[in-house]
Amino acid sequence: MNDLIAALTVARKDFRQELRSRATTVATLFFSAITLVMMAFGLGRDPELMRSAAPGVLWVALAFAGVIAAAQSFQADLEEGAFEQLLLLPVSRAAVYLGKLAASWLYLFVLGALMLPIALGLYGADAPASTWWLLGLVLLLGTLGLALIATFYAGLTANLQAREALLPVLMFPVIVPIMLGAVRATEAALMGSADAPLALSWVQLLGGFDLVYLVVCASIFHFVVDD
Amino acid sequence: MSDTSGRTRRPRWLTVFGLVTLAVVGVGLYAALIVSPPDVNQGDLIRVMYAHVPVAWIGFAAVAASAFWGMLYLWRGRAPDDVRAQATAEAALLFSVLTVIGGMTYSKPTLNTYWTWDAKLTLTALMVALVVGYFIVRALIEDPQRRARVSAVIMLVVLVSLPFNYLAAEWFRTLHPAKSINLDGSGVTMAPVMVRVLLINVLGGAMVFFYFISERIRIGRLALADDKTFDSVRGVAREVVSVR
Amino acid sequence: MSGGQDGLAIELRGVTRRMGGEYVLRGIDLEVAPGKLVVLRGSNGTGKTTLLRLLATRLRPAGGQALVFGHDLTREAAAARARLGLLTVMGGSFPLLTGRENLELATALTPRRPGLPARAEAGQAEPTEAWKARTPLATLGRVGLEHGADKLVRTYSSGMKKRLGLARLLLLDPDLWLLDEPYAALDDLGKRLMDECVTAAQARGRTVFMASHESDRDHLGPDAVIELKDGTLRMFGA
Repeated sequence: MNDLIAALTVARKDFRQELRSRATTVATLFFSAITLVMMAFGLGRDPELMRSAAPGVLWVALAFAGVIAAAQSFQADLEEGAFEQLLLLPVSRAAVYLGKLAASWLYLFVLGALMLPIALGLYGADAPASTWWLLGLVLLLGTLGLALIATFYAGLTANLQAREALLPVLMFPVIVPIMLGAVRATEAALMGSADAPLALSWVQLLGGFDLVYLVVCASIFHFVVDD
Repeated sequence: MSDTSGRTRRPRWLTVFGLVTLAVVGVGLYAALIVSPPDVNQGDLIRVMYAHVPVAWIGFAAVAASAFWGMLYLWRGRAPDDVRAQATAEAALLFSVLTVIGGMTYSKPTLNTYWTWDAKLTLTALMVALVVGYFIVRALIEDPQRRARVSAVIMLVVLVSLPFNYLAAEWFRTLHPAKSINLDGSGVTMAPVMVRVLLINVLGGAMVFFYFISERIRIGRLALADDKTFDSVRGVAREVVSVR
Repeated sequence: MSGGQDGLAIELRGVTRRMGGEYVLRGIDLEVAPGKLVVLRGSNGTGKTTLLRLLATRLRPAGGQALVFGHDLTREAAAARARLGLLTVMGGSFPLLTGRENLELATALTPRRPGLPARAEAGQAEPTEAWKARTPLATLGRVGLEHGADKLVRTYSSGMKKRLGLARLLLLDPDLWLLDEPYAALDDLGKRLMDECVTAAQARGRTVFMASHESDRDHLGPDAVIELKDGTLRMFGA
């Protein structure tokens, strides 16, 4: 119970920091949007190809944003030795991990909710009104998966050299199942309610991934942050 | 750290084991190239399989072994456990790279392309990327104890990621997930003689793996005992500073 | 409690620690009884900060045994952490939070220690108002930061950041104060404030372990001045 309150306190602190470092937050947002645009140029002019690529492009953009957001959240903490001070308080490392996770999850989810309509608009795909709840569920579980791994590895690489390049190298091979599950579920959800069972079967993969890594990462995070 | 002079020479059992390994690999090679008949469908190409399959299996076993030693390190904090974890991780990298190369060699003549997103090969390629990440992090941390802890954690995550990545690789080219799980090797049936030849080669591969890590662990432990930085701590004249 | 001598605030036995591959601490043996004020000297790069971070449970010893109030710093780090506080050179506050938010974060994450007010009031010359009103805002006033309470720490000067770090220590008031170059970056008024707080903490029975290369703080009357050199400790001047 104490851990839960501590995690919420850390999450509120992180989210407050995110809101205050407005330049970084807005830059990440535009970074995702510009990724969507650049990928459109990369894919060419075939409208059918673009339409079918929309879910994949969206999740690639979100994965990139996840890397930046997680690295940024540790960067802000490390600058003045404040993170060290936080770790000196009698608070469990799992609570610190869960708090930072909650903040980057919320951030990524909001980002995803903003990027989804932009991606659909740019790539000429449209979302049926009947499956918006399904899209929301996929966004929720998919961004949780990204945030779980990004937060864990951002903590691991926080005081290493070359962390900017290292974080995606470590993170991307682990989030392959999230990318696959989220893209396929998004695809199926865009097909309308007839394909809802198909989307839900991919959502199961996301849910299983999230559950396992939530337990694993929270329980071994102390090996990563304690020097 | 104990006296190293008696341990610098390779123990006799390891030399003997190495020679036996060489013999078993020779028998396996002979069996694969001469004894085994060509496959009905694939002809002589089946002979690649005798090396490819053992190498692939051992690669995955090596990741599991490295994660095991890593967890033991996290639990007991003894430096030799980290040496073992590193040795098995090196073997995992070597065998999984060989698996990817072998798979591509196998794929080119049969399917006329080097890369087909075959599930097991995709899984192995992801494993190569994960283990490369492990070694990049190892190279970046100078403090041996922190390096051991962090790399043990990474290998644990690699191990956990394998079943998920396996599902992802299996389902990558399918429309619907749960319907295409196939853990029994795609239902391939082999002639008994070919099974026997394969098993000899699995034994040979496992012995090569065991020889490799034994030698690597031996050298790693010698380096541990010969830690030059530790010399600066050995025999330091200490006095107890007491403020009471 | 594990194997330590009873009643020692700090007990180090043959403690070693590497930083970046090389040993910085090569064998530290130290005993400090509770309530003592110890000043740690040493030239730059001798490992004073390493020793303080090790005592604060942030760095694990590579070898040897380290205890704070009888708690092993590796195996019972959480129990040790509950009784110590560290003031780092930079002050250790979040730049994107205000001074007040930084202190509120610290108190929100620290469970109320039973019996603290009673102990705080017992036997001290200091007025007890500060302890009756041990709120973040009152504590900020005590270190002269009331005007900066709602400004982001990013806008603080380094001296103000140091004062904020001091405010956090006053607020949590741990049994062991670990101070890393507490006087660096402080103006004369700040230095005097630091002196007062250290003296008052010692009067309340706190143990203070301070790394400083300023010899002009000797008027604090430390119980011992010790020196870190070549990775080992000795009494200063001995």
